[in-house]
Amino acid sequence: MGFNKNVGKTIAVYSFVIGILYAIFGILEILVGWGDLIGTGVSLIQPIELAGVNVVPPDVFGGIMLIIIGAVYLTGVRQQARGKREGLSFLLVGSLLAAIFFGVYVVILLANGVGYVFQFEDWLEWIWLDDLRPGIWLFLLALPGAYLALTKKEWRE
Amino acid sequence: MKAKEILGEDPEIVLADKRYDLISTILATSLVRGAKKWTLTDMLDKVFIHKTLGIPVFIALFWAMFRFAYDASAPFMEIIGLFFEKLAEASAGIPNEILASLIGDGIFGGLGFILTFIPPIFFLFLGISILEDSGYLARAAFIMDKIMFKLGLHGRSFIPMLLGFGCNVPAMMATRSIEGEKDRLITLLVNPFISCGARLPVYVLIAGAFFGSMAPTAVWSMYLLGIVVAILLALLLRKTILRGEPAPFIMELPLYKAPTFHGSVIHMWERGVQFLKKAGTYLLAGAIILWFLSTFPWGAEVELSYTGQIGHALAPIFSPLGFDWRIVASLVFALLAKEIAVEALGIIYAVEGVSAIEGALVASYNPVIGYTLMAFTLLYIPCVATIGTMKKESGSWKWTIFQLVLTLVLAYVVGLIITGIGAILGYA
Repeated sequence: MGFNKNVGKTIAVYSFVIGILYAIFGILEILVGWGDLIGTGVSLIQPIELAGVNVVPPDVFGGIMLIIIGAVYLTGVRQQARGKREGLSFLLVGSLLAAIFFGVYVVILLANGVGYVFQFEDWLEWIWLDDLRPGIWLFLLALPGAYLALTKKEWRE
Repeated sequence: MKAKEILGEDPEIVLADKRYDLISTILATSLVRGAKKWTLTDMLDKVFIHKTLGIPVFIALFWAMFRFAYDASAPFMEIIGLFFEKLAEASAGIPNEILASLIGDGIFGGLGFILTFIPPIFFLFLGISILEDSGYLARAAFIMDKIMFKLGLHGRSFIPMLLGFGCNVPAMMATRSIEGEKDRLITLLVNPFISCGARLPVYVLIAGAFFGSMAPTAVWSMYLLGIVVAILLALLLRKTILRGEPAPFIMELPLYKAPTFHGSVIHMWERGVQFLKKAGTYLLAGAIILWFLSTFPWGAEVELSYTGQIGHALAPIFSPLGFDWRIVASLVFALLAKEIAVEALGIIYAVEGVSAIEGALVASYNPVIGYTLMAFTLLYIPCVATIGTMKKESGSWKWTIFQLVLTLVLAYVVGLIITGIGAILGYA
């Protein structure tokens, strides 16, 4: 039971790409943040900047969580490629986790905005672009998958 | 007891088996199976209770919850802190010096300081409510049951343990649903290791002072440490003084549903209001007692006050953990309620606002002492309300005293381990 194999292969490729992206950015967050974790302050790789903005925050545990999301996507790839409906579960839950992390990071960004507006001491030098982490923009790539997993009810039969 | 002896196992389990056997027999002869509809719950359960992914997903969801509770609440803590700072400043104008000190340092400096932690407490409870209302928490119990059963803990114990994230008192009362005296006693003994909301202000203050951007993770690690210690201790008890096999755990998993904003907010309020009630009673009383003991003899430095004397008398016992008289005094007062540790630090340091107290802590201690203090606060003797509940639920002073000694010894040992690891990492 499931869906057309060609459709399955397309979904599998999509899940694979999203899963790998989450895993890669998770690993990068770990490598950049490793120095902060062990107290040396020296990253294992150079900070990755785009137009002067840190694209990858130094966050070891945040990185681990991205890897977990990636692992959920990747676990379902084989079943999706075979056209099995069970594969859709991994796409759906991966997207759900991605949405939860997206939501949490956006709320934190907004809360930091409140701190900045009130000009509290810890937020004087806050820049909103610094809070625009991979957990936020990777979710935009995950959105189509979430939509398909929820709406294509015929794939579940 | 007799039915159990005749049947050889729990009569409820036998009845459940027979009931399902009968259902299967009837269905086998009367039901024509069609294609099974695959529901949304089936889809989600495929991953949420997956044998490999289930636990990592659980860890990720809890981490997200703590990240939300800690980071999103920070500016709101600042707003409440500022409000009480202004009130404390205004109270300086009261002509009577002792009354001004009571209101400014005791009530606004002590109680007001603890109230700045309302946002993370409510945000954490909102997160727990969302997970509970969605049906996920039941799955968390399910995936943990496998591990817990292997370790000798009754699967149903996880429900009281989850309730313990709010408050250990109702959580310990919830152990009444556990059949088997030993299963229940083990759950009662390990329940105080589950981080209740009262410990959160201590974690937030210490983690914020010492761990910067890693603070939410440091807080989250305390919750994990509590779960790990509870499970390992349950295993130890099961293998030693409370030997036996845990009863099997049968639990119906509810369907998943999207939590409503209204429902989650109500559940958050039901849990959070306990903290507000405590603030108006225990914490207010604690602030006044603390102020008195830290201010008298009148005119003396805090170090020479009654609080200072209590702290100094006990400090040598805790010096191997890096705790000085200030920390020791705050831990002594926190026996009334764990949040009082934060209140006490506010009064002892006599500075206003979270940032000022964080600065004072950083100037006095290193991150290892900070982390040790967090772990000690998690593990040592629970608050008086929890001790009272243990006595009531176990019906025994022997087990209550055993729990007090156990928690204190365990907290000390874990503290020494953290200090030792810190020494290896180069923190004197």
